[in-house]
Amino acid sequence: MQPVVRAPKEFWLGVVYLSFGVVGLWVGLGYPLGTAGRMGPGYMPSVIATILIVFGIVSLIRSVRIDGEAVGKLAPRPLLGVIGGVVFFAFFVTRIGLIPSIFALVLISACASPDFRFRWYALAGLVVFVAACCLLFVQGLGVPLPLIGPWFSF
Amino acid sequence: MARNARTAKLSRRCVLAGAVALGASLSLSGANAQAYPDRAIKLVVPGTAGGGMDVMARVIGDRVGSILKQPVVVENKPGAGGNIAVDYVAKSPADGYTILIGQIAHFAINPWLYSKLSFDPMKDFTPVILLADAPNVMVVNAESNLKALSDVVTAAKADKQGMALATPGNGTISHMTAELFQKTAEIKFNHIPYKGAAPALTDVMGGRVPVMLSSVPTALSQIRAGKLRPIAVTATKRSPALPDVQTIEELGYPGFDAATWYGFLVPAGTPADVVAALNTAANEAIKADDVREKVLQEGGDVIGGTPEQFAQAIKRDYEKWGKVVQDSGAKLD
Amino acid sequence: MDLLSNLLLGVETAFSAWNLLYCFIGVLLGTAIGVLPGLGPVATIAMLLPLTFGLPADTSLIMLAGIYYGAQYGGSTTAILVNLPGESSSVVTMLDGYQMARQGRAGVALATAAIGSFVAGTIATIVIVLFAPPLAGLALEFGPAEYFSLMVLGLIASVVLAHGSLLHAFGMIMLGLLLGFVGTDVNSGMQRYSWDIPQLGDGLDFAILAMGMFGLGEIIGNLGSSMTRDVNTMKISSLMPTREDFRRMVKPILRGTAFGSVLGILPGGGALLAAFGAYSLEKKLSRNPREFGRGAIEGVAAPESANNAGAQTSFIPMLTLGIPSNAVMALMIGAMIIQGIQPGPSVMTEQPALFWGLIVSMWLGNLMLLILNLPLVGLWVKLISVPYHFLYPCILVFCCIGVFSLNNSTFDLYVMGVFGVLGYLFRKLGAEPAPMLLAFILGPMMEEYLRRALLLSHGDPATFITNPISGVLLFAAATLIVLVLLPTVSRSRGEAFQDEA
Repeated sequence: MQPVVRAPKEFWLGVVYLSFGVVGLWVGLGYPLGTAGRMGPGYMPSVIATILIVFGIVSLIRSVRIDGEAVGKLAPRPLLGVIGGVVFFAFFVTRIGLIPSIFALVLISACASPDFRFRWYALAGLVVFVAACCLLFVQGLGVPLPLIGPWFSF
Repeated sequence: MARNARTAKLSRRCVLAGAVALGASLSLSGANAQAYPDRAIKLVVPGTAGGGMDVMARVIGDRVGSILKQPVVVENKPGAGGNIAVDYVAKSPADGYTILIGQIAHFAINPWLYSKLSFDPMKDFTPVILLADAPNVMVVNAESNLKALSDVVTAAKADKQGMALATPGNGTISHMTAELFQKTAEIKFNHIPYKGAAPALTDVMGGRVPVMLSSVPTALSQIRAGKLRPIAVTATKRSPALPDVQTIEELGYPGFDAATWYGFLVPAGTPADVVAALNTAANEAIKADDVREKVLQEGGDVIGGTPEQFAQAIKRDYEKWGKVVQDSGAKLD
Repeated sequence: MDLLSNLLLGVETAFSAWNLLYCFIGVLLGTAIGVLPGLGPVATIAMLLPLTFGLPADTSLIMLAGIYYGAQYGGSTTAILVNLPGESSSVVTMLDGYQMARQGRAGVALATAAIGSFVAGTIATIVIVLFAPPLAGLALEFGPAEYFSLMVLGLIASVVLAHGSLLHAFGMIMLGLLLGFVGTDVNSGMQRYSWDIPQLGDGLDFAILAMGMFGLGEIIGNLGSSMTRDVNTMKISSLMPTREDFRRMVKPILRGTAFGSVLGILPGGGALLAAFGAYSLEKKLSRNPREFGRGAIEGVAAPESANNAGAQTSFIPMLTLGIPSNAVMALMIGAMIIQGIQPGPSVMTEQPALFWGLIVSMWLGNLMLLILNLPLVGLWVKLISVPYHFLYPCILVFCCIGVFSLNNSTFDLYVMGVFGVLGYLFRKLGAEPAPMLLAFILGPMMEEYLRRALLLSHGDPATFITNPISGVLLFAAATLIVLVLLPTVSRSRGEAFQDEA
C-alpha cells in the first residue's frame, strides 16, 4: 500500500508556504489596502501572501501525485546544541559578560557534535580563543560588551 | 545598581590586573567617596554612527569629557525612529553615567505618532541642557521656475492633484513641517516620503520632484554647488549657514516656527547636583569655538541654558507638535 | 593635460608614507573583518570612525575606503570556505565557491576571487578617473520607475540562481518578499509584521538573516548529517588555478566588471544586482549551465569581479554628488563632515588632493590586497582542514558577536536563532535560500519604488513604459521570463516545474 503523501519534501514545503501565506494574509489584510493606483501598506503583502497560499496548495497537490524524496531524520542534538548555545549567549552576555558567555557558548554548542570529548589541550585552546576574542572585539573594535558582567561584581 | 553601567574599559583593566572581582570592587568602593564623575560616561545616540546626530554627539561629548576629566563614550542605538535608544536610556540607572542626546522628534513628535511607546517622554526623563537648534530648509531644483515661496504656494494651489513634496520620511520633522505649512498656507501637497534624505535629494536634483523639505546640512553642499535653490528656512531665525535665505515667517506667515533642536537628557531621578554638573560642563563645551563652528556647519546655532529652560522648551514643543500631528492624522503603529 | 596633473597629484598624495601605511592598515583590517562572519564594513567603519578624528582628512578617508573594499575581499573568503556570506553580494559567490571548496578546489576558488577582484578593481578605478562626472549623471537619471523595473529584472534573474524546481525557486522568492515587508513601510510610515516589537520596526537585518539561514543552518546540517567528517578531510588538489582555469575566467571577469562598474553607480542595491546579474548572465551564456551551482569557476569569477567593481564605482555618486549609494558611503560622508569637509560636488574642485588621492589609493589598495591575499590562500585552506568540531564553535562565537555589533542589541541574536532553525528546515526540505535572500533585499526596495512611482504619476501605471529606461528594462524582464519558462512549458506535463533553470 502506498502512503497518501508520496513526496514528503514537497508536502512540507507546501505546508511552509501555506502557513507563511495564511499568517501573512491574515495580518496583511489588517493594513489599509488602498487601490492599485494608490497602494496602501497592506496591498503588496496581501498580494504576495496570496501567491504564497497558491504555491502552497500547488505543492500539496503535487505531493500526493508525484513521487519524491523523503525528508530524512531531523537531528535534535545539533539543533538544540547550536540554537541553545546562541540563545544562552543572547540572554546572558550583557548579564554575566563576554568571557563566561563565550565559554558557555562554545561548551554548549560543542556538545552538539558527536565528536565532542573533553580534552585539556582543547580547553587551553579555548582560553587562548576567548582572550583573542576579547582583545579583538572589545579592545580593538570597541564592541560595547562587558568582559565580566554585572552579575559577577560585588 | 551603579554596576550596570560599568564600562568595558574598567573591567578590562581589572582582568589584566588578574584580579577580576577583587579589582572591580576595589575600584568601585573608592568611587563612592569621590565626586561625580569618577568613571566613563555613556552618551547614547539614537542613530547610526556617522549620521548627523552622531557627529554632533561625538564633537560635544568629546569636549564635555575633557571638561569633566572622564571619557564620554558614544554608543549608537539606531532603530524605530530613535525610540529604541530613548527607551534604553529611560530604563538605565539614574546616576548620570548614561546620557541621551535627544531630538525634538523623540520628545515632541514620536509620542504622538506611536500609540504604544514603552516609555513616557515627559515623566521618564530629566532634561539637562538644550544644546543647539537646527532649522530645516525648503529647496527646489536650481533650474526650477519656482523662485520664491510665493511661487511654490501658487503652483501648489494650481495643481489640482497636489504638487509633489519630498521629505526624508514619514513622521520626520520635515514631514511635520510640511503638514504645518500646508495648514498655514492653505494648500495641499502630494507628500512623497523617502527612506532618508539622500534618495529624496536625488529625485529633486533629477527633476522628478519639484519641492523638498530638508535639514540644512544635507542640502547645503548641493545649494553651494548650485544644484538646489533654497526657498525658505523653517525656523523663526535665519540659518547662520544660509544668511541670505529668508525665513517662512519673514515671507508672510507670521508665527511659523518649525526648527528642530537637540539636547542632553538623563533618566528621571538623577540627583540634582549631577544634572547641574553636566549642565555646567555642557554649557562650557558648546561655547568653545571649535565646537560652535561644527554646530554652525550643521546649519544651526548653539543655545545652552539651564535645565529648566530646556524642560519648558520640551513642554512647549510637545503641545505644539501634538496638535500638528493629530490634525494631520499621521499614525505610525 | 588636466587629467594628468590631477593624477600626478593623486599619486603624490596616495604614495605619501602615512597614506600608504593607513591604506595598508585599512585593507588589512577590512580583510580581517570581512573574513569574520557577521562583522561587516558598516559596523566596523562605524566603530572606527572616532579613531579617524585625529587623522588628516585624506588619510582617514583612504583608510576607511580600504576597510570597505578590503571587506569585500575578505567576505568572499568566508563565503567560499565556510558557506557564510559576510556581505550581501557574496551570497552569489558562495553558490559555486563553496562547492569548489568541497571538491578540494578552495585554493583555486580563493585565487580566482582575488584575481577577479583585482582586475575589476583596476578597471573600475580607470572608469572612475575617466568618467566619474558623466557617470554621476546616470545616478540622477534613475527615478522610482527606473529602479522598480531594474528590481523586477533582478528578481526574475534570481530565479536563474536556483537549480532544481522552478516552483520552489519562485516559492522561496515569495517567502523572501514577505519577510522583506517586516518593518516600517516607507510610504505610509506604518509598521508591518512587527508584532509590537520595537526592534522589528526597522525590519530584519540582512546579515542576521544570512547568518541564521546559512551560518547556523549549515552548522546544524553538517553536524546532523553523516558527512560531518568529510567536510574537511577532502583532499586539497591544487592551490593555484591552472592554465585552463585562467582561460575560463577571463571573459566572466571582464563581463562581471562591466556589469559591476555600471550598476555600482546606482544607489541602493546596485552592487548586489551586479553580482547576481553577472552570475545569471554567465550561466545563460555557458555551454554547460549544469555546472553552475556545482563548482563552476565562472560562477566565482563573474560575481566577485562584479561586486568589487561595483564597490569601487559606488564611490562616484558620493564623491561627485555628495549622495551616498549605500550605508558605507553614508558613513564616509559622516567622516568627511567630521573632518570639516562639505561633501558634494565641490569636493572635486576644492579638495583635489583628497579626491584624486583617494582614487589612486583605491588602485593601490587593490594591489596590496592581491599581494596580501594570494599568499594567504594557502593559510586559509589549511584553516578549513582544522577538524570541524573545533572550527564550528568558533564560527558560532564570531557570528554571535558580529550580529550583536550590528545594532548593539541582543534581540538580533534571538532573531538569528529563529532563522537558524528555519535555515536548517529548508536545508532538510531541499529548498535553496539564495533566491529567498535576494528577494528579501530587493523586495522592500521594489515595493517602495513602485508605490513612489505611482504616487508621482498620480496612479498612472503607464509611467513604467513611457519612461524609456524603465520600458527597456521591463522588456528585458519579460524576455527573460519567457526564456526561463519556455523549456518548462515545452516539456512533458508530468515533469512540469522540475526544470533545471
